[in-house]
Parts: sequence; C-alpha cells; structure tokens
Amino acid sequence: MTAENVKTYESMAKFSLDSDTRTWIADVLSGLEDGFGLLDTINTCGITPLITPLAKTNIMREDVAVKQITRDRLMSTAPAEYDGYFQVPKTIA
Amino acid sequence: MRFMACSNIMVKDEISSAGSKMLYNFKAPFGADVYDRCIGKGMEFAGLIETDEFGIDSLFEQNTDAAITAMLENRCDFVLCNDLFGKLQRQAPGHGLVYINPAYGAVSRQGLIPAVSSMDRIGVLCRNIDDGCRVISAISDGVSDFAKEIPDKATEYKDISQLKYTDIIPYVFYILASAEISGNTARYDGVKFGFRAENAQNLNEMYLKSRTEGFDRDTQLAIITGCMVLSKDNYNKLYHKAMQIRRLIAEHYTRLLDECGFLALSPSVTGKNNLERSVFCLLSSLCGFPSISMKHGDSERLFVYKG
Repeated sequence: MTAENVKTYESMAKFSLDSDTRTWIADVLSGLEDGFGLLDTINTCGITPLITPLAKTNIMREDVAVKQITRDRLMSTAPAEYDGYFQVPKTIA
Repeated sequence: MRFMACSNIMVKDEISSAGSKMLYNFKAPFGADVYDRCIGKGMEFAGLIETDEFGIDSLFEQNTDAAITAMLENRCDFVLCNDLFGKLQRQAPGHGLVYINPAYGAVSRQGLIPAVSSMDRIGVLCRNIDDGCRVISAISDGVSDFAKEIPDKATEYKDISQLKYTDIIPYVFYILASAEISGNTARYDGVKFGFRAENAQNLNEMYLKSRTEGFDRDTQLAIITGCMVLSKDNYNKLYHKAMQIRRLIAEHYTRLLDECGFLALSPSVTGKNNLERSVFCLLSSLCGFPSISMKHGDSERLFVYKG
C-alpha cells in the first residue's frame, strides 16, 4: 500500500489529506496486509455471507403517523439555512 | 442509581457529539430508547462522557477510556456504552469493573449514533454483576438471564482447544467494521448538521474540507479502509469473503456454545495491535453473542454465551 494508493481511496471518501496523514494511513494499511491475507487461507466456496447476526424476521406493527420532530427543530441543527432550506456554497463554478 | 452515557447515545437537547468534531454542536432532537427507559425507571442522569470518535478505538494507542475514568472517579454507578472494538471489555477487569454486552438486538439501538450497524449494541459498564443485571433488565425487555450464570470462582475449565479462527477474527472484524463505518459516516458532509468548514469556494470543496477537518485520524483510517475493501478490486477478495468467514466463525462458535453452555476466555491477549489484543471481544461483536468481562477469582475473564 502506497501513499498514491491511499490518494485513490481518499477521493472516494471525500477527503483531502495532508501528506503526513496519507503516509501514516499507507503504513498502517501495509501493516494490516498480512492479516487481510489470512482470508485467502480459508475455503469459503458456497458459503452464504453473514450480513447480520440477527435472524431476518420482520415484525409488523400498526402504521400510525406521529409528529415527533418539527421541520424547524431539524433545521435548527443545520450549519446554514435559508428560508427553511439547507444553504450550501455554489455548485457550479 | 446514577448513570452516565457515552456521547454517541443521544440525550434530548444535549450536545451528543459521539466524540467527534463533526458533531461538536449537534443537539439531539430526541433521546435514545435506553436513556428514556433508565429515566422511566427512576434512575438519575449524571451527564454524557466524551467517547472515542464514534466508538472507534485506536489500533495502537492504549489510553484509559473516559468511561472507566468516570467510574473510578465515582461520578456514577454505571455507564451506557457501545463497546464495538472491545476497549472497555479489555480494560474493565483490570480496574475491578464489569462490562456486560447484551446479545445483538436485545437492547434497542434507537438514538445510538451508528458506527457499525451490524455490530452496534449498547452495553453497561458497572461495578458488579447485580448492578449490571438490573440495568440490562431496565433497558431491554427482560433478557438478562445469561448474566446470572457466572460460574463459581473455583470452577476448573476444560481446555477445549477448539478455538478456531482466532488469528483471522481481528481482520475479518476490521474489514467489516471499516466498511460499515465508511457507509455510516457518509452522512457527515457539512450540509445537514454538525461541523462545516469555512471558506469553501464550492460544494465539493466544502465536502472535502469539512470531512478532512471534522474527523480524527483513526476515523479517517477506518473510512479509507472501508473505501478500499468496498472498491471494485477488493470487494470479492476482502469484503464478501469476510462476510462468508463471519458465517463460518458464527457457526463454529454457536456449535461450541451448544456443547459447553459458555466459554471462559481472556478479554485481553498479547498482539501486535488493539484488534489482536481484543480478539475474543471482537468474536462477541462479530457473532452478536452476549458477554461479560470481569475479574473472576485471580483471573480476568470474558464469559461468552449463546444468548
């Protein structure tokens, strides 16, 4: 794993890391590679992946509308708001 | 009983930051189910504790958890936590404390700021088993019986020598956990709540600056690892394969628990990093088994049950 590899994943993660952090992550991931390589030693042919430890059972309940949180309460935690909408910087340069 | 909660458990109108700059000013719009249940049982809330960011333990540093410190300073009788990475289970017995992890799904996660959805669960750091049982009964629907099955201190354990997959569990855990962390932290983009970096010239720059400045290094590592294991080149080789091995691990240990009733393991073993040191705690996380970490006689024990 190189700093250049990390840069690829960094763009997926929407980060813009400094070179020290990038190098540190590359070093840590290089150190984990042997551990990740152990997966190759296990034969998993035909094994269904386990996504969650819970058995998938759907519990149905009565569908009742309840007013829990108002729009104003939700918008109050927004970093920037304009007229009830989230405000963000321009999207087109 | 006085209780505290790690700050990834929401308390209505309190700053519930999950230990992250990303949520430094986030006032929870509602309280977690576990909080409401404790209050409903007449317990007294003593405040939130700054947790590791989203409960993500550093891979290498071994600092004492803030929840342990709060208990040692006698600021409360118990703390509600999500001990994903096994840090509290590793540290609790050494300080004479007990950590009880309920079975996955036995305690509601409503109002817990998510990190690893398929492993997140709210457990209890307390002083003794009786306190822990009382709390687990209060926050669940009465499924704490396993915690009453602590073996006698004089019990001699049979070495079953069937603890398979111990070398691989930490890495299966980290692959799956980091993938889920990268998904669950995608919502922190500086738009809807929490931290937004200043002086961004456009939307994309705002995303990049907010996320880069908002997360600490261990979280960034987990997110990058998650992106790596979910990427086209690695999905089958790492993520899909880890989920398959997770099933093999769960089936093997479920069989073992059917035979033995419980396993008496060590909450902390020697290893190159904290993942390896927490291997049996991570087994419990991966498979959703309930567990208790405590000092038992002269030994530190992690009792794992089938639930």
